[in-house]
Amino acid sequence: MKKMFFIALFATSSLFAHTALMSCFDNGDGSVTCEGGFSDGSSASGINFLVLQNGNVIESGKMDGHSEYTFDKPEGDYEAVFDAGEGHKVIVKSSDIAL
Amino acid sequence: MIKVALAGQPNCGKSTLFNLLSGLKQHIANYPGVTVEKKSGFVNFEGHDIEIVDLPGTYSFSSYSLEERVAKEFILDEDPDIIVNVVDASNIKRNLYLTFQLLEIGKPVVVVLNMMDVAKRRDIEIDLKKIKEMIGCPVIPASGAKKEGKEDILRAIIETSKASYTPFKINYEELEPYILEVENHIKTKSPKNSPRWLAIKALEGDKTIHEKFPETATIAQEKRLEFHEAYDKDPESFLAATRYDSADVIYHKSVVEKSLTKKTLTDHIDSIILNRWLSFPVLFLVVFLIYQFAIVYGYKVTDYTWPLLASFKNFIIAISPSPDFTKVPLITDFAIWMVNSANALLNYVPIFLILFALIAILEDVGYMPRMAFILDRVFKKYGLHGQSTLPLVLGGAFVGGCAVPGIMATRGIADERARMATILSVPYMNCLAKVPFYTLLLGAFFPEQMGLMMFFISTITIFIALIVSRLLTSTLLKTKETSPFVMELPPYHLPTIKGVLYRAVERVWIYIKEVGTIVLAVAVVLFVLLELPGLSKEQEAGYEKRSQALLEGFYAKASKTKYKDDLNSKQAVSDLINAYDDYRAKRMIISPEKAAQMDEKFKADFPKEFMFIKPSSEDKDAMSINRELRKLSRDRRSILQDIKNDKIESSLLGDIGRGLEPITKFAGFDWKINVAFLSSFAARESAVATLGTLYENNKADNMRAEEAMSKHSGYTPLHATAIIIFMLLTPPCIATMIVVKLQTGSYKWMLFAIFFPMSLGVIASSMLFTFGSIFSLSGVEALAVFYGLVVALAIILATIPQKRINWSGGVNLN
Amino acid sequence: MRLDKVTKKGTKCKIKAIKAKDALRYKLLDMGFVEGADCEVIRSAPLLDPIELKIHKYLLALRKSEASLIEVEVL
Repeated sequence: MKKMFFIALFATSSLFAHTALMSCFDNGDGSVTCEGGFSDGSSASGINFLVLQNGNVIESGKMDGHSEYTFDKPEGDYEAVFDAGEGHKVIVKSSDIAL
Repeated sequence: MIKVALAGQPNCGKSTLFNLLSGLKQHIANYPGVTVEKKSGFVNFEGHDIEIVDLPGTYSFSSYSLEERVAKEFILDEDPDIIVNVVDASNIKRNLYLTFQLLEIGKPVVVVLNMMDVAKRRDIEIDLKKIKEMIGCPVIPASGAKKEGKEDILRAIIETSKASYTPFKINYEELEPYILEVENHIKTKSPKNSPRWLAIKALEGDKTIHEKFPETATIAQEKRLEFHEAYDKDPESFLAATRYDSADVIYHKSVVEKSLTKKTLTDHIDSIILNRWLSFPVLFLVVFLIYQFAIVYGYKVTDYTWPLLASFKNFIIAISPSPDFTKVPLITDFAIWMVNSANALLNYVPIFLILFALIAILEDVGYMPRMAFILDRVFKKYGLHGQSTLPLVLGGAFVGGCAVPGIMATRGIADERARMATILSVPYMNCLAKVPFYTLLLGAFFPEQMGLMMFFISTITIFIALIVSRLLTSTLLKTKETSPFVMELPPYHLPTIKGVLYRAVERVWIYIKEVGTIVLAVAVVLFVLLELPGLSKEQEAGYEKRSQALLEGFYAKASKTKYKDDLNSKQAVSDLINAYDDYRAKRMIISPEKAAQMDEKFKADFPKEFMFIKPSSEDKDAMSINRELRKLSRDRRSILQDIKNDKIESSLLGDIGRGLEPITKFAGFDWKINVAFLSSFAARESAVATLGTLYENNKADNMRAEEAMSKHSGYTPLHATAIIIFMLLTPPCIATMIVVKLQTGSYKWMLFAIFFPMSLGVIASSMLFTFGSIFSLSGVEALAVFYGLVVALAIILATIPQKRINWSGGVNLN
Repeated sequence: MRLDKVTKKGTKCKIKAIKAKDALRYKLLDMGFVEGADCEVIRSAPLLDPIELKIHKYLLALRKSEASLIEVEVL
């Protein structure tokens, strides 16, 4: 209970920091690059990044020093997730990642 | 031009009426030499020009509060033609006390019975004609809330200005002979104002009158003593009693209250709000709700407004000279820096709007005096006032707030000493913008105990604020005026939407105007300090070589494609890479639905470049160029990052940071931390960005700023705690300092508000670091010790009685 | 008796004299604490200070230290 309180307290404070952003591009060569960022300009390098398909994590890693992550394009529909913690999650659907 | 002074007791709806009468044609200034607002409005009605000046709300026309003095000096110096007295119709008897004093001034008065709708609701019947007969001036019914009465009032003003006037006189029976003697003396001075009024005021002991007519003061003092000898009373109690008796007479002859004994809605609400057991829970609930709406929801609103700011930034970048590969023109760098600073401030606007609107609602509803009533006993011990609650809460009582609206909210505090103490202690509360900074440090050095540390940080601030307030009121503020607490608890009433919005917008505008301009000015200075002296010749040459190598690599790949002629010049490549970065930046903020639309537009604007930015999958060459383009962009960004780091290292600001090291090293700060603090002075948010930049050298390592800091800085958790303590105590930002100046009216206090906390911060963090090192305390332990000491000190101070000067006067020995 | 000593909720009293001086005196007079005026003690604050009074049909809060300077007759 106490832990919950602390987490809630802390989580709301990080909420105040900035808005999370991400845009993804299909490179046309079988790979997809996603670039993450924050509204106040802080870097997204090291932030967790996941690729989900049917609820399963098929790939996970961290944004590189340029706040980017490149992965092989999966078959079918998938979701790219930029996970910077509570309230800072950006999900981009494969249907929106145009060529 | 008819000059009208609008006077009335607090809570009579005067401001709403003022807005009703003058519409939007208002001018806000300050009364000369004081921080009291002077509102003037202008209206043209049936061919007449009328200027209305809204005097501060006063219960009476004595001289013991700043507002009363200001109001009286206005009447003495600016000689209005007519006084419009706004009276709360649901409480005529008490309001008439002021009315009589206004009538005695010797100028024509128009009485407006405001809040008639409330009176009606309370079954109060008023015979306006009777009142008019008895006091000999127009009595106009009105309801500011319902916007009724404007024309009648304006018409009455015009008619009165044309009518003949006989000075109003109350017969003060036993006091009359004394009044006469003083009056005769004053007549020899041929004053602008009614001699009788001045005589009465002099007998009352009115300081303002005594100052303006010093010789009369002596006579008046004599007569006071004589009267006291003869009747065992002093003139002011006698006058007050007579006025209240007269008000009573009028009340009984013209007002019938059918439901006098019935409990009003206000009484019912108060029985909950001020209930012994419910009052604190209700208070917390109210405060929590304000937070929830203003800050949490306000931030959600910024999710929508931020893209606007970002588009503005992109626009600025677009119209600035384009970078020539890795050579970014100074103008462009400058423009981006300024836009970032501006956006950081503007991003708060939605939050402030909601916050100010909520405060205005709270003020209008009448809850603030109740808060003061509940908390006064505690705050009193620290030199604060019950009304300091809201400013402290706004400054950040739980998770975070902002000192700027907090200090602006101190306007209502009547007690000058408590007001100053509040202004100087609000900056110690939890500043929202400092939070990302704490998050960074906690994430780097206290990943396991983040929750606990954050709890310490959020809760220690109120104790620090209380201690500082107590310290200041016992020393520097000792000689400031205090006022009696005596405070009215006005009836609750619904705020008007227009009034609330007007006030919220007005306050946000002040923020943008006053604070924004200075912050931007400071940003300019900081830019210069960070850019100069710039890269050395060797460094520049080095980067030139690196850039050239990248370009060569690109040309090589491009020449293998059919597009080699389009891309064989530096210009062409520059254009391409700039377009690519522009596209990427725009894509980040656009929603998926609008993406296709954006692509179309981009294609139309940059046909040559677009085919490489979004190559068709059939065109193998274009695809290959695209790959190289992305790599080039990435590598260029690395170069730009390195350039930035080098610049900061050798910059003037860096020099200052290094210069401060001998002092700050006791707190464990190196020059990089110093630079981050210095550069964040414009806006605390920049501290994180700057620190991030300084430690971000390891792109290849994929580390987050936190991890980079913890692994590469060589700092220990104890260092981090010292940094946190420093951050806790230093003033939030330049914006706060500006508002301190605005509210105190002096640069002296503003400077104090900068240097005192900073010194406190340096001393406290140095002591903690040195102490902690000697005893080998961990970061968490050190903070816990600090916390314990602070709380203990706060409690001890509460038990020491305050020795303050509560008296004045005496024999004048000059 | 002194006003701050009147503790029972709902007690009605009549003002007899004001022993305060200067600013406090003027303020009290202005707010209607004149000889012969009626007032009613509504409640004390949750922390027992200040106290809330009803006088001339409106509500007023007063610190106990201030109330101690007002002489009243309990009705």
